[in-house]
Amino acid sequence: MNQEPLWLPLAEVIPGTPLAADLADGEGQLLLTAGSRLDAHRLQQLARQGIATVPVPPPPPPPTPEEMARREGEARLRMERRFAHAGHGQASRALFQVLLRRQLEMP
Amino acid sequence: MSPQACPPPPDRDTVAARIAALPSLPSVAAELLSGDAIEELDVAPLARRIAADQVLAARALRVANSPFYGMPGMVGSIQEAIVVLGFRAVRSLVISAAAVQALASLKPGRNFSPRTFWRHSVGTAVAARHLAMLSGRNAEAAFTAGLLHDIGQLVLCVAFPRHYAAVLTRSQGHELPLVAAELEYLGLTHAEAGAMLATRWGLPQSMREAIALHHQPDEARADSLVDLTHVANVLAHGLEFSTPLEEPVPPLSDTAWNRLNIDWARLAPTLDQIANEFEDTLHALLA
Repeated sequence: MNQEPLWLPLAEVIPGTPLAADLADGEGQLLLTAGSRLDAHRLQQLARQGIATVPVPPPPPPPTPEEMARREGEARLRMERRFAHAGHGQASRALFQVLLRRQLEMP
Repeated sequence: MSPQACPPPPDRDTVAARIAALPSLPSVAAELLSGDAIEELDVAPLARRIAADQVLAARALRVANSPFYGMPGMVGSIQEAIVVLGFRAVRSLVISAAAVQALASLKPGRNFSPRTFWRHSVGTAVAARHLAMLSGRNAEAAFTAGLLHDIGQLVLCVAFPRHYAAVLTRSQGHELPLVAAELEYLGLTHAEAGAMLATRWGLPQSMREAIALHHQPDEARADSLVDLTHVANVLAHGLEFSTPLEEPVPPLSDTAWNRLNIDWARLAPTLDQIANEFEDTLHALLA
C-alpha cells in the first residue's frame, strides 16, 4: 500500500531517515531522489539551500497487541542469542534490557 | 582448520620478531606521542609538519569535518582544526588517522574481514568518546583507545595467518569465545599482541593498558582508560556494527560499569547518537 509522504520540518527529521519522494528546490531543480538517506550533513546542506520541509515516510499504523507480543518474543530470543556468552552479571543483564527496549522501539 | 593442521603456537621471541616487522607509525604521529606536556609547546611548526603529510592530514581533516565534531565542512586546515577543536583533539585525530594508515594496507590472512574489523573498531571509538563525555573523562584519548583496542587481532592475523585462520574458524562458529581460541592456537591473546605493538609504536601507557586489559577491566585502576574501552567494546558488539560477522556480546564488567558512574537512563539516548555518528566517522577515517 502506497501512503502519502509526511512533510516534516528539517529540525524534526531524525538523521538517517530516507526521503519518501524526490526533493526539488523552489525552481523545480531536483536535489535528492526518493530513498536518499538524510544524514546530519545532508540536513545541514538542505537548510543552507533554503529547504524548510522534506518528505519522509509516514509513521506505520500502530501494531496490534498480538503483533507486539510476537515482535517482543522474536526480539528477546534474538537478544538472548547475542548475549549467550555475556554471563549473568548485573551490568550485562541491565545492558540486555536497554538494548532489547531500544530494538522494540525501533520502527 | 583442525588443530592438527595448525602449526604449534609460536614462542614469545617469534611473536616479538614478527611484531617488529610490522609497519611503524608515520613519523609525525610518533612526534605527537613523544611528550605529555606538548600542549605547552608552540604548535604552529607541528601543525605545518602534520600538514606536510598530505594523506594523513586529509584523513584527520575528514574526521574533523564529519558531523561527529558538529562542524561539518568548516575545518579547512590542520592549523584551523587546532584553533577550532583544540590541540588535544587534533593530536588524537592525527594519531588515530596515522594508525589507520599504518594498518589499513596490511594484508590479513584467510577468514579475517578487514571491513568487520574496522567497523567494530570505529564503533568502539565513537562509543568510547560518548561514554567519556557522559562520565567526565578525556573524550579524545577514549576515541583513540577505542579505535586501537583490537589492533592485536590484525597483528596476529598478519603475523600468523595460518594460526589465526584456525582461531577464526573456531570462534566464528561460536564454538569458543575468540580469546579462548587465541590462547588455544597461539598461546597469547589479541589484547597481549596489541599491547606489544602499542609499546613498539610508543603509544602512551594509558593507551597500552586500555588495549591490554579491555577484556579484564577489573585488573585496571579506577581512573584509567580501560573501563571506557571495555564498556565501549561491549556496546559496539551490542549495537551490531559488524553485522553479519558480529561476535557475541562479551560480559560487561560490573566493576567497570559502576566505576564510570553513568545512569542507565542516560545511556539509552546516547546509543542513538553513537549509532548516528558511526557511519560518518567510519567513512571519514577509512575513505
